[in-house]
Amino acid sequence: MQMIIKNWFRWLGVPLILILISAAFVIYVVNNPGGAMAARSLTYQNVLRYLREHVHLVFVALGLATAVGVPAGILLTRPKLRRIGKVVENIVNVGQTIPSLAILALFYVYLGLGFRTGVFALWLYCILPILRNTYAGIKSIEPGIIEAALGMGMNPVKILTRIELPLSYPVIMAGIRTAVVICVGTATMATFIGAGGLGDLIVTGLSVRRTIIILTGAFLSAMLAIILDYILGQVEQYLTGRDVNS
Amino acid sequence: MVDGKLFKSFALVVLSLFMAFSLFGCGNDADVSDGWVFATDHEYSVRPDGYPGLTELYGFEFDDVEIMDLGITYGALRDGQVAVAMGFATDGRISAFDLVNLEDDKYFHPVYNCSPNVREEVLDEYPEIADILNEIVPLLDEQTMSSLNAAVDIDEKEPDEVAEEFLLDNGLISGAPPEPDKGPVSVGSKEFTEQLLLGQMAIMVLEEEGFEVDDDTGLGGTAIVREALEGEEIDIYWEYTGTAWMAHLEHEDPITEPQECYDKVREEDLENNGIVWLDYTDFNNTYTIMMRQDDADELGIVTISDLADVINEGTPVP
Amino acid sequence: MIKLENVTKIFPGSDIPAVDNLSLDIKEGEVCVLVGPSGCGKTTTMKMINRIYDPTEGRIILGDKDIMDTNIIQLRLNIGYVIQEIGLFPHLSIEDNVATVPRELKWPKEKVKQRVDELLTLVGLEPEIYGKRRPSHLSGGQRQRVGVARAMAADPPVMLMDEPFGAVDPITRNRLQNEFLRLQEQLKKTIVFVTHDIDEAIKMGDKIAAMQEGRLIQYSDPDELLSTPKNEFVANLVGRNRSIKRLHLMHTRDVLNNDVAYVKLKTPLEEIEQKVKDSKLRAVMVLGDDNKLMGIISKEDIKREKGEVAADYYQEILNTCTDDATLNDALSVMLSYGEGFIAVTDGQERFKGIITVGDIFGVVKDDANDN
Repeated sequence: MQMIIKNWFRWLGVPLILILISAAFVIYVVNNPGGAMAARSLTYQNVLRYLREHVHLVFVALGLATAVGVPAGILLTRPKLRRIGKVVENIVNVGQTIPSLAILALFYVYLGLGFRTGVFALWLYCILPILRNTYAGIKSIEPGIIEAALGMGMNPVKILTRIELPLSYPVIMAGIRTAVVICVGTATMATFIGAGGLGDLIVTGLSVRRTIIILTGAFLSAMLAIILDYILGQVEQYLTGRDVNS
Repeated sequence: MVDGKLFKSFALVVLSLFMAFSLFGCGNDADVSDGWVFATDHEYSVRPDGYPGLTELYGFEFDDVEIMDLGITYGALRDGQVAVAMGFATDGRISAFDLVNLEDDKYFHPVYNCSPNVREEVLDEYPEIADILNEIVPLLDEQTMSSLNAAVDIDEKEPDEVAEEFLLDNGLISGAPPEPDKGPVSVGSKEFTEQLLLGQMAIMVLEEEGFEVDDDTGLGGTAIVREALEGEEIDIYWEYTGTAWMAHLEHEDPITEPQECYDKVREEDLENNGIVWLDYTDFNNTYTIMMRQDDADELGIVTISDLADVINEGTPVP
Repeated sequence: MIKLENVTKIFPGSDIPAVDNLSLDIKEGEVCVLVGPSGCGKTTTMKMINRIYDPTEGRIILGDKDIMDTNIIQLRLNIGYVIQEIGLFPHLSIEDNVATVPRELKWPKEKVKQRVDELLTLVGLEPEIYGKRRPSHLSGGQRQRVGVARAMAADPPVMLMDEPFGAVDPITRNRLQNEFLRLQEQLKKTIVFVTHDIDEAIKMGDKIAAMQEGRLIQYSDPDELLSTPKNEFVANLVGRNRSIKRLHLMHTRDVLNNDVAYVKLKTPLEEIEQKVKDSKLRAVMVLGDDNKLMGIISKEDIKREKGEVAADYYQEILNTCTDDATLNDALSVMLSYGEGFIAVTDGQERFKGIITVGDIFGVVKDDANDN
């Protein structure tokens, strides 16, 4: 019984507390904006809209990145593609070093402004850690384990589903978590191409030198990252929990 | 079977993550929406002399406001992603992209006419500088400044090239300045196109009159250049009346009448800081509200009031 | 049972064959050890049997069918496979590891469970205690046992073992080898066993295939390999002092000396004293019911007066081994306890006799004279 309560707390309690803290923060700043300029920016309607836009950007980009990154990472570890796997891994690593703003600017030229471009750039950015971790996770499995499975008459599909994926999901989940954090942070850049999000608050605050506006945007985006990361961490622990110390 | 279960739960997690992420995200804000959508930069969206005051004074509301980087509002408007956008009145892209500035018929936006600022001591030593620079001022109306900016921003010419061509065409320089016998004086500027152009013009006309001139153009942002002038590191640069009134002289309420603003700034800056404001330009590099030329023609919109009427009547975007 | 006919394997991108025109005939129920330095092609040869690699040329017959004509999955399900790093699945419990192949074969649940318990017991791991643990919670030796149990799960007639005892300390390895030999005596599997350790090869193999640079140099039983190495390479492989190596081959039961003084628990003191005096060892063994070895009474033990009968005097004896241990094992035990003899028992701890250092040297000496 105590276990159940503890689990409920871990799954829902902590995020709920974080959400309450965020809500309290928002209520405080909306009621104490410290000036007319900040008051115009910090209304419930605005803050909620930016938050929703931000979540929207992050979720769609991450969902698509997961849907593409995990299978792509798996494909690259298949014997036939293993040779290009190394190349792709390098490209992916280099790709990660391109500033997010540059990616946004680049795709703005081709895709125009707004949500779609924002999602596309974020997707491109998030797919990297997911793909890389999936690839690395599967590749790092001791070859002996795979060979043993092969020798015991498992076919490649079974080896993938029973051995490779279960063994590498902590790494894959870590990749998704990295992607979440990167994504929430990078999504603040989307404001430059008119895709909205909490970046609207941060950049507006910067351009009119109102710290409280910057702070609100930054705080909410940090909280969003922490909450999402926490929930994914719980999922990861739930999966690895059966796997203590191995 | 435990290993099977493990895989299934893993697959389930990945899948549900995807579903949750995607579904959670779907269904609300569409792409840049239809209707009267307004593109603005971050600053204008909250400043009292920006979007909030504009809509209040003219009495209308846009269907939606898209906040984005200042540099891309022009492109967004050209590409039809928004119906109306804010920008700066003398930007070269306005003419290049076939956009039109709507007349601020209720004098809402503060004025930003430009004028050469010279330190009093320098002017005492070389009083002829005032006349030399004042020669350029009357040539610079909005149309001219915008096309000069476009020559640099759109046609990718060098600012000094464009400035020289312009001064030659207007007979202000000969193209072969004499050996300098006066000076030196130093000319600074901020780092955007219009300022670089104005700085180069000032340098060229002074050299034509035999001054040795140090080129300190492209120094930095407003605060940096102004500090350089006050710190006597430079002698001359072009400043905007509205900027001086709000930023340097630290007044809260904007002035929207060009002459009034210029007079007040000129008087106060000379008295307090020993900075002389020469004549001011006809062009007013203030915020502007822009539309596509075609749309404006079709709906017969010339002023912001016209736009407010059209929107309030519920006329759709062409 | 397993027949390799002119098998050659050339890996892509290499000019030199890893295995070169190799023919080998392994009889049912035999342990065939492939031995040689690393890179000699022994592992490659073994892995061609379950088609981890396919031969470039030649045929491999398993039973009476060419393995290339058998469904690859069926082939592998019928071959037990133990590899170098054991290859246990770290995310699965011991039970699930062992149950892998039976589940692949879709055995009913109860049968799988029964078989897993049976196997774990067979390799000396209590299913109740170890079944639910993860491989990382076991010692190296225990993991090796699980590896063997897993390979035997579906009772395959053939087993391939690639240095199965390579990753444990020498003492544990010795024990595992002995256990394995005892199992093999009951189970009579056909086993292909790969090792680079010639001592292990001599100990484990019914037949030894000595390999060098992909070629089979000599294929014979261990005795022959030791007594008549075919060429310099094999001679070097088995070492100069081959008679010492034979200690690996001979078992304690072969040289057992059962002319030993012993007393029962109830034997009175005077008789013990007499027997100790007459004995070459200056000691007597004390046997319980059913000839069970209880301990030993030496000259020193009876000096102190403690009672009337042997039961009051005997000391525990530690330098013992079983009669299926090799002479090499027996000698190591003697050396580690600093005793000149060792007491030999059978599997049920019944006393069989003793072996002295002299007996062992005798074997080595006879051998040296033979050669």
